[in-house]
Amino acid sequence: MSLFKTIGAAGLATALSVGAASAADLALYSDKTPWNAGMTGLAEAASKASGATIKLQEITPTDKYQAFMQTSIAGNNVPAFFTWWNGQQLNDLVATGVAADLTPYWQQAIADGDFSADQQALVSVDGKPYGILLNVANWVMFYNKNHFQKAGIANPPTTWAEFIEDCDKLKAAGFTPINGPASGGWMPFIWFSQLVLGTNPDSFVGLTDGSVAYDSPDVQNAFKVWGDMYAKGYFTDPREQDDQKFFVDGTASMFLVGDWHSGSFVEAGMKAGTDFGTFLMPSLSPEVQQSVIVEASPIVVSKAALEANPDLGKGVQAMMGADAANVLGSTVQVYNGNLKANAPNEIIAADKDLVAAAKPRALVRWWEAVPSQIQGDLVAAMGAFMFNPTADQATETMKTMQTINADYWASK
Amino acid sequence: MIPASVLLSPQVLKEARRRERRVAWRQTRIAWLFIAPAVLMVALFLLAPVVFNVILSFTKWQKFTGIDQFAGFNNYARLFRVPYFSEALGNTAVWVVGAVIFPLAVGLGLALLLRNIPFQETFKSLFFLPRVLAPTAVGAVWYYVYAPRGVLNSVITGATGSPFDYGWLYSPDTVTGSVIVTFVWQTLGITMVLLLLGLAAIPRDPIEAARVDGASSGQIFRHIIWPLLLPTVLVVTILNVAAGFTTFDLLWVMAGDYPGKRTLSLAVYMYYESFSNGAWAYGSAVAVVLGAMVIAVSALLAVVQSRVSRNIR
Amino acid sequence: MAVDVTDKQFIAGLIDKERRAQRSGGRWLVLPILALTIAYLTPLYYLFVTVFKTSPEYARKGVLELPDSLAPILDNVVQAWTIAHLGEAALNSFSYALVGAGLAVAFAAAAAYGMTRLHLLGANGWFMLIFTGTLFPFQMYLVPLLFGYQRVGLINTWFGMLLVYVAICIPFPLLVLRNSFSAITREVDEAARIEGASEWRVFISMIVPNAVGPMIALFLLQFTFIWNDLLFSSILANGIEVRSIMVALQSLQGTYSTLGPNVVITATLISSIPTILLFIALRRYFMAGLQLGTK
Repeated sequence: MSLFKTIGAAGLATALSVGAASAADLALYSDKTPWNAGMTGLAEAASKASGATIKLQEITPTDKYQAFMQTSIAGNNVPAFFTWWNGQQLNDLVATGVAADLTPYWQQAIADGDFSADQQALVSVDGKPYGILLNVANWVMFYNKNHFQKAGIANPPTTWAEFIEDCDKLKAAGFTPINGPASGGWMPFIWFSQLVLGTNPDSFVGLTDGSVAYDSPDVQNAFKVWGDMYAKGYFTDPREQDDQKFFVDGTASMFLVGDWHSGSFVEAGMKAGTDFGTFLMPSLSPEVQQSVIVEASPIVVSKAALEANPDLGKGVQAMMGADAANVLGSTVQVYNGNLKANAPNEIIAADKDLVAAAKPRALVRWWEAVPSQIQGDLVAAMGAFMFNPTADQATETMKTMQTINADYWASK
Repeated sequence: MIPASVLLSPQVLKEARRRERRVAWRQTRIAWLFIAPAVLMVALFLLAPVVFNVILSFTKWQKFTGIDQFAGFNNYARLFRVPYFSEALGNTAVWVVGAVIFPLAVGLGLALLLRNIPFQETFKSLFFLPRVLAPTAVGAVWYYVYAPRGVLNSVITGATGSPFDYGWLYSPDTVTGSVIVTFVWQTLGITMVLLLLGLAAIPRDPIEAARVDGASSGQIFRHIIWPLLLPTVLVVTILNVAAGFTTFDLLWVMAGDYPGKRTLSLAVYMYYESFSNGAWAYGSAVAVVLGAMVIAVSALLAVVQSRVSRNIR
Repeated sequence: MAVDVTDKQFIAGLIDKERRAQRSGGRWLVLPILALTIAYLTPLYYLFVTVFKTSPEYARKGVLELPDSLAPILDNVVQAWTIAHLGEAALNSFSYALVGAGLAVAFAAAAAYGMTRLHLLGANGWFMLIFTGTLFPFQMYLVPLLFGYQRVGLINTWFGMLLVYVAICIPFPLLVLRNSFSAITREVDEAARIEGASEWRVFISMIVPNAVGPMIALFLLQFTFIWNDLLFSSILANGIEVRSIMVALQSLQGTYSTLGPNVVITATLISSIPTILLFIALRRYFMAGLQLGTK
């Protein structure tokens, strides 16, 4: 039958051509699309140093990226380089055995004065480093200086009472005080985290290791404050998907986020230092110690890829050098902590000074600290509250979160 | 004609039967060769995974590494402890009902309208075209149809004169409905074509006779057309029920930005639990429940369909 | 009143009257249908104007406005092509669909032959076994296939992906071809067998030619299914070298994508061209395929 012959012949032909067209390129996978220019720079630096061709591949939003990475890892198809998270996320990843131990490269970098041992600890599991630092950021409150001036606010708030007062002033001046996006599959945890750690930093840490319940009094307090803030109209519409839109278009006056975000504000036409500045969020009451979230994102290297091509090690070194750090800084204004590199902009430099002056307690971000199996489900619950910020929904959300949390720790 | 038993001695008969059995056996062996590829492929790649899935659903969840110890019904108990399953179940129910009713209602209206007009074939093809497109592609286009600065809002803005930038896919009130509309857009054509075929098969005589007797169009539809069309309607229902239960691609592509996306359907929930959270065993339990429901509902509809068809014949 | 049914003029008059009645009814119906059709085609219209816009043009103009020129499509195609590796993905999907649908229909035909034309013990049981494969939702295959494939090394391979597609595409054609083959009269193959033809010969030269129509229709349906698949490929073969066109397409899409809608929509169009062309060229078979599914 000629139909089958035709199909068979054509199939064979395509099969052969597919086999011939297999790509030899290596990939650097990332879910951090806004940093693409910098990531491309890193990939180029690593390509040049190692002689391999490393190309940037992006997948967004974050939960789709996680699904892709999970199946890739399960499928023995780990990309040569990929962005990841530290904390519990890195522990889980290292447990699979796919991540390369980067101890020799870190030893070299510390000896060269590029990085410190403290920084190595940020991306280490059981004392061994498994990541190249891509980003070390403080979580600060960005504020629109023009708005503050128009609302008659001379200095950024230093206590919670002042913060609330300033929000009311901004509201009265016609601005929405806070940009509160719920997008990207992770942003709902921002204000949940801030309000819990503002209530009690120990509870915040306890949430992520199973010792504090998600419906404990401190969390209840956080939700009460959060709901009050929504009731007073402090937050923008959580349905907006462009996370920075309301901050850069002048609708909202403040935006709580990691200072890696400053580059995209500049990109959107705001001037760092003149149009916007930053301050450290005060805790909810003077008795509670002030805390700051420190976020560190690693790029992980595939163990198999590194073993197959030891020259990739030169690429690792290149990515850890000051030149690469400056590429990141100059293109997307992200700071990877390299001690020899320049601070990418004055905001990031100023944040370092703010932290040095206030000496707040440094905390690992909730996202990195929480067990990854329940991370997404918990964020979804927080998002549900943002869409319907009522007391009933708060109770519902806390109940949901605690059920998921208790279930996870019980099954350990 | 002389009966064979009279003509043949028992021994000859026995011999003949044996030969017949040998031929049959030889044919059976050849037949095995013919069915072997299909049977092996289906058994290895479809049936074995289903069995494994059921087993997996009784084990403990383990990230990345797969099967661990047995956990009894723990995963199934968790379905009810965590509110997400019931949320996903509720949304799936909305999907099943929406996926059955809307294509059927609009498709039937369209089929009745199209029945007697010129260029019927052209219209049929136009409405059928979206069916051959991938849900992934359809979803990518409709994502921008519903975007805040998308097609739908620009049409509304044009009609009302005041700017409108509602995020249809970002609000819990509209996300499911919006994606169902897209589903209807894609499946309307096939539903309509099937109904047209069903309509064409209805004999004209009883309709003409009823019209002569002075029956109204509504009466004719209710008492003559509808009962005869019912088997087709049920076939369409069976197809769409299954699609409604397992809807994935459209939601995955269109509702990726919606914070509550993981519970938009059981299929999506299963995907997130298994492949994003790494809760393989729990995800398998969700899949088993989904499978049980699809099979139960489809079987029920199939029984109803065969009863109805038999009554008509 | 007696009517002379042989009166040609009277009959012609009747026919004419009926036609006129139909036509006037038809004319009224065209309006709502036309309105519905326009609404129905709006997303497709949007697609066609968008592929000719540049990103700044898209941002500046109303989404339904006509483009300034046709030239930007070239750049859109180049961008979509290079960023998502669409060429490789299209080749992958084309080979999966062609070989997968071809093998599946061939295997189904052979099995249908064995079940309907040969003496097969428990033919119904075998049929039910294969048919069971259509009952379960795809979600039940995913996790076991992922782990099974990981264990045996088929994960992220062209061949492994193909095997799954072939298996999934067997049960439905079998159901249809079993009916088609049963309808072919027994004398056809009995005669050939008496002349000493092998079963294979009978199958290839007697039975298959009698069912070419349904087989083409089934091949088209399964080709379209494989080409359009996102779910299986996203889990079993998402590496760039083996991933399907739909996985490549969805990797471009989403709010956080830095690409303009014009590029994403262009990629959508590119990924839909094969099935649209097939549909236009072989519409008859598609419609026939539909009817197969409902008998």
